[in-house]
Amino acid sequence: MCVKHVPDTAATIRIGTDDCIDENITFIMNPYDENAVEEAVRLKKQTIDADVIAVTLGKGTAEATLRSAMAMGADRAILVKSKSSHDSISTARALCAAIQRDGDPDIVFTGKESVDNEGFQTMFHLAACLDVPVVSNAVKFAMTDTTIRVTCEMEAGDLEHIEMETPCVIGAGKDLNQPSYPKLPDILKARKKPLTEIELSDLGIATPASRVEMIKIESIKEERYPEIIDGTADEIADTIVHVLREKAKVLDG
Amino acid sequence: MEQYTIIKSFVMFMALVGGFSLFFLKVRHLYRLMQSVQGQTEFKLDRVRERVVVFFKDVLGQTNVRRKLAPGLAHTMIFFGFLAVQPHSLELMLKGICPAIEVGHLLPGLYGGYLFVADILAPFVLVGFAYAIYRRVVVRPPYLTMGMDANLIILFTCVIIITFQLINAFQTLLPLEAGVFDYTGTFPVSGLLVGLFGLDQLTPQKIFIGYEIAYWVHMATIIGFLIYIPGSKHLHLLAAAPNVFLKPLECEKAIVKTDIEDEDLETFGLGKTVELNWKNVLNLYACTECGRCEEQCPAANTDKPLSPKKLIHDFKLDLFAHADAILAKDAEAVQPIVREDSPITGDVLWSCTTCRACEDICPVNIEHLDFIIESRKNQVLMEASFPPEIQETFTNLENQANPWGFAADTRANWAKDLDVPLMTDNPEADVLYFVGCSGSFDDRGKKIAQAMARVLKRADVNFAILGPEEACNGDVARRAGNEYLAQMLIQQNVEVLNQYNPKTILTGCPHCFNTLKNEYPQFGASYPVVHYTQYLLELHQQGRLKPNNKNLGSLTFHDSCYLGRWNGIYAAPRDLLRSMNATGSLLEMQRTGEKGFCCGAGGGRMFMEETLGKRINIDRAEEVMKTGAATLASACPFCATMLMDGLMDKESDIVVKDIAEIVDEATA
Repeated sequence: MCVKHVPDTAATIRIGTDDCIDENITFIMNPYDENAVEEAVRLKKQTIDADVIAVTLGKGTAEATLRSAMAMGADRAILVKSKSSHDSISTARALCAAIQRDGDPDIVFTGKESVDNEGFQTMFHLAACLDVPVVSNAVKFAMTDTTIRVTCEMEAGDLEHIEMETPCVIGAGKDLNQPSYPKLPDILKARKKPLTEIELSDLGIATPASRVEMIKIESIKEERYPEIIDGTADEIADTIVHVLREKAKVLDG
Repeated sequence: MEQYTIIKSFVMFMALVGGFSLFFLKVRHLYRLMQSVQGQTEFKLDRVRERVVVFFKDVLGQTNVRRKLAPGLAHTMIFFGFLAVQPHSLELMLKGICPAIEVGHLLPGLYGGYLFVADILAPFVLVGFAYAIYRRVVVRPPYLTMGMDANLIILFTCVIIITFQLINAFQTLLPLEAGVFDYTGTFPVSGLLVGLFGLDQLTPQKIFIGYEIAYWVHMATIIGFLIYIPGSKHLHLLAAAPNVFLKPLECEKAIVKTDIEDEDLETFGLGKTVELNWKNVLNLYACTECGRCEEQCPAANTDKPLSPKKLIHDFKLDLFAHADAILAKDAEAVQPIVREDSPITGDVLWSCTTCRACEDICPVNIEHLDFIIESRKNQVLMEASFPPEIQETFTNLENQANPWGFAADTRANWAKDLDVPLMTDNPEADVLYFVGCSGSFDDRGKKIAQAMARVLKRADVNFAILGPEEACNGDVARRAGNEYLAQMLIQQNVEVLNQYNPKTILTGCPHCFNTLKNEYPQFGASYPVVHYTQYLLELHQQGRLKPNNKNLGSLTFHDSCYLGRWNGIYAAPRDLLRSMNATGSLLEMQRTGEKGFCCGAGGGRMFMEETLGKRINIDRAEEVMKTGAATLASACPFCATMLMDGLMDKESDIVVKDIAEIVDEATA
């Protein structure tokens, strides 16, 4: 499965120089990728002959996330090393190349999104590169032989039941499972599990015809102007309606 | 007659050899079991002189058991009475085999004196047991188990004492033959029985038969009791004294440092009874199920599945159930402690608030928490089994070094407008104020930290905080069994502390205080650590904090477990409150000081749901309300939060203030 090393959303994210975020904060495994890892490991426990490989594209520090994935039960890991950040199509091509170099996977699990860029694109590009079907925001997953039954939440409460064949790409949603807390012996074992490092340049990936270019990165200004609304209950209600209609423009008519 | 003496001699010989052999075999089995468990202990037999004093005070002086006065006095009577009859019983045994033995001749004056005293002390056993039976039948405290075991022990002992007195009574009536010790005047109490039952009216033959019956019943009961002891809760008779002698001499203690980097270790924490250490096993042997721990336990008092007494009992049964495998060094064959049919469940282990009321009250110094915390370690590190809601706390601690997951770099934000220097800017500060997570992030806690900072400034203290360099002290993770995470946090702090080498660390929270003071030395950071109640009292005594003599009304103080029972600090907060509120009053709750009732937050419980039984903080809030005090003073931000919630639930008007806030108000 594919995982991503992302900044902890709880941390204060600052913009550093060169339109990059200040990386002197805690990085964690993308939370949706935890669901992906958990599902892959669960599947391995059901099928005896399976190899769970964690793949990521990132800097050397992303090793921590791969070790976490291995502590959760992945057998080995591949780190595609790159110093710069990439858009989803380049990321997908890098992951695809690394995956295909390693072998032909039956299922590729990813998180439905990553909490840093929130592009929601990588898994689709990856499936296109691999030329396999893809689903996103999977909340239920079951596999018999090569048939997969998966339930995806398209919008809140709108579920779609899909049957598909391997090989395929599954984008894991939050409700797919409860990622298990790693046990200490597994954390210790993960330190010794094999991790292959590949330089991105060694994969010889073609530059995509179109791509996303980042022009500038800016932090959201947290500016709030609280007002105190006074008066009788009716007056307050009127003022609130006025505010919602005129200032916030969330009410019609 | 000659024939009877020979038969008696033979039977007694056989009975004694048989009885004592059986007894020794059983004791040897227990001793071997104690030696066969594989857990390591850091215990060192040090400070022997102090231990001898403890032995005289707690075992022979019975002071510890008399902390509960009436049952303690009863126990003292039983203890001395029962002990007193033993030498004479032993002499009678030998005399049964060889009638020529007369210790009285060997130690003429002394032995007569001993018999005189023993004869007076013996009936006190009956007085003690009369009270014990009264307690079991009439008073019936819920923590006292009524069982065959206890009743049999009472019966055995009473028979031993009654027959002892009868033997003595008949003894005085036996004809004084040549070579026999003259017992005249040595049995003041038994002598009364002679007149009372008119024994001297009996024929010499009946007197002889009476003596012999009393003798045989006495011997049979003693030997029966001897065989019964090692298999019953009365093993206490043998194990309590050594357990007390080997007790921890300080109330401060640290959780065992588990080597989490040792990849060769197959297991971490306590998962099976084979992983207990010999000290734990001695603890189990020493318990006589008096129930005092259960009486104090906040979990047991609020209908949770944990009773420290039952826990110890269940551990003992589980140990005995696996004795064969443990003796055979077959650790594989030993089942996990927490398993499907085990009475020790996750709910039992996670109900503990680690308040240590059980350990403090235990008359034989059992350390219940060692069992609980080590089992929790095993549950977390090996099984990843814990109340699910604490997983988020673990993740937050891991990523942002605080239990709520606030951004770690905002740790000093509480002090933004107060001009509090960071250690990086003032590395030579006299005092490093270790604020803690609550003071740094929690809205209520921040107000307490702000009050602290104002007070320190008012007293002109040269202090600084670590700010973003500070991490959670590790208490929550450690007591919740997550030793790996705890050590990660501790290491982080230790590195920072060692870089500054602080002169004094001042803590705003008893949990930080306890861990920094008692557990950080395990990780290479030993610095003087003070809790702020001690420090502010000191500042006041030096005249650096002058109260404005404002009347703050009636206060009551809630003892924090980690200040009180874990570190023995009871006086400082009270003295400080009295001097800050000289014209007001300080009321005490019913359960106070060593018996202070927990708020429910300790042992990581602050971050777990309390779904079983009554809520502990509500129980305590009700007690606060009974004092009639207008303000509850706390010395721990977690206690403050818990009790504020409890009082709010009871719709009480009582205001909860931290002592730092009270000092701030009183010196403004």
